This record gives sequence, C-alpha cells and structure tokens, in this order.
Amino acid sequence: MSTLSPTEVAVQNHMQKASFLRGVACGRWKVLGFTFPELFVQVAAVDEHGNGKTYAFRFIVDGYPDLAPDVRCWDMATNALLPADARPQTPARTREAFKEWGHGMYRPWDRNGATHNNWAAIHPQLAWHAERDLTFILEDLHDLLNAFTKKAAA
Amino acid sequence: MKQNVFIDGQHLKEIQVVAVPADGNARSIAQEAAKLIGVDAESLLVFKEDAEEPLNLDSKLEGADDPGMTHHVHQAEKVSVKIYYLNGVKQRFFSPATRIQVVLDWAVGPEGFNVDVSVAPEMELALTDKPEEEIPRSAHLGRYAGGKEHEVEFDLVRGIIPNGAV
Repeated sequence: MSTLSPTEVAVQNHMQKASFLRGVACGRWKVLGFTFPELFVQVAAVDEHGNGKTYAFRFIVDGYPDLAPDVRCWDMATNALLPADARPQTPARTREAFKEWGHGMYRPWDRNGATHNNWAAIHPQLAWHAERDLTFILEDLHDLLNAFTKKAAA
Repeated sequence: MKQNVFIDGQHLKEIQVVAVPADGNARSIAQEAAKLIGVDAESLLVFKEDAEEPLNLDSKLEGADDPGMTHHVHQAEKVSVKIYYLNGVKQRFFSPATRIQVVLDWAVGPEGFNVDVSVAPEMELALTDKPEEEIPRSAHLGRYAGGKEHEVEFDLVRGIIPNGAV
C-alpha cells in the first residue's frame, strides 16, 4: 500500500475541485498523466484561423501549493520541450508567454516567473501564492490559447 | 437519485457543485446554492450560462447531455457594467450569468470601444477597484457583483506582459 505525500494529496484534491472538473467537462483541458512530481495536462486551443488544436504541458509540482509549479510546453511524443517554432505565435501576449527563455512559461505564476522582473509585485493578479490552484494556471493558459475566439471560454 | 450541477454566482470565488434531485428543477439549484451563498433561497434567481433571462423556478433542469453545463445564481436580474478605456467609459446592463468573455467581446467590439482588430486579442478586463484579482474569461459576471450592488466597473487593459527576459 502506497502512502501519498501531502503534496500529492494537495494536487489530487485540486484535481477534484469543481472548477477543475468543469474545465474537463467542457473539454477545455484534460489530464494526460500524473506520476509525482510530473503532471501532464492538455489544453484546447483555437488559432487565428479558427483551427482547433491542443497543447500539452508538463507541470512539476513538488512543493505544491506553497511552491509554484514549473510549467513547460511539452511534446508528449518525444517527452521533451515542444520546440519554440511549434508553439503558438499569435497574438503577441500569447507568443510572449510561450517563448523560450531557458525556464518555464513566461508568466508570473510560473515557478521561475515569480522572481523575474519583480513580477509577483507588478502583476499580482497573475502571481502564484499558496491559495492558488491548478485551475488558476489552466484558466490563464486556456485564455492565452483562445484569444481569437469569441465565446472561447465556454 | 441526485445529479451534480456546476454553479457560479454572487459571492462565489470559484465554480461550485451542488447536488440536486435528478428530477429536480431550477428551484432545487436555488435551494442548494442558498446554503453556499448564505442568502434566502427565495431571493435567488437561477440562469443558464449566458442567458439574458432567469429560468422559471419550476422549470425542469436541462442539460443532462452537456456535462459542462453551468448555471448561475444571483439576487439581481441585471448587472450594470461600466468599462473604462483611455479617456472613455461605456456602460450597459448584462445578465449576471454572462461570461466575462462575452463582456470583453462587447467592450472591444463596435458597440464598445471598437478596438483595432490587431490589438483586440491582446485586451483583458481588470476590476477597477481590485486590479490584483484574476478575471477568468469563463467566470460569470455576477461573481463580481454583490447582491445589492448590482454593478461592476472594469478597466480595459492590454494584457501583454512586456518583454524583460533574454
């Protein structure tokens, strides 16, 4: 019999919250796999031409939720970072969030973004803290990946 | 038999689930939601997501074939929305069940500030008095309008985070 760590329990509990389950039920994201500390989640996207696709993300969740996840845009086929030229390029705010900068996602909620450029203080609405959960990040990723679509957040 | 129903609404910080009888009606949602929100069930209106008008409380629940169906519960039938952008302000009423995405679409569209199509996808809404609060586009407007206030003010802002990295 295995015993889950408090961190694993926190992740599992957050994946059972209504806000997370609603995203799954609406097809906005789905869990591809979870073997602590790696969690893989796929997020639905619509590009500027109206074409639907998906992007996968690897979340490193050790220390969760006190420590922000390290989130990377992931290629599930090669189990490696998705090459930068395969990531979304428009609009500009999405391109910036997905750019390769040697760390995770270029967002204040990312583990590496929190201390970058004083982001946690400058962008508190996007900063991570222990009261946040996985849905907070997934909502932002979904918004970034559906910026062209009216009613995208259905 | 019970069925789980997703709800958003006033005073809710995030989506919740309530269990209602499988053969229940909109009143069943109001009764369960009232326990979460802490108001009298009789004072609550129940909406389908994005609906302009509330449901008849005796109407049977629909959407069993839509697992993501989300209802909205609120004491107000309409919410006044003011949006500030540059030196202008636009105002109109929305149902509290309106998703933030729909409000944003209006704000950047021809009836709003008619933001250039090349810039519109960059725009976001921020609460004027709580800019630090994240506003998911899937959230319902009524989440941000208190029961008796019935109005919300947003700033329309460009969402891009300036490049400061390598």
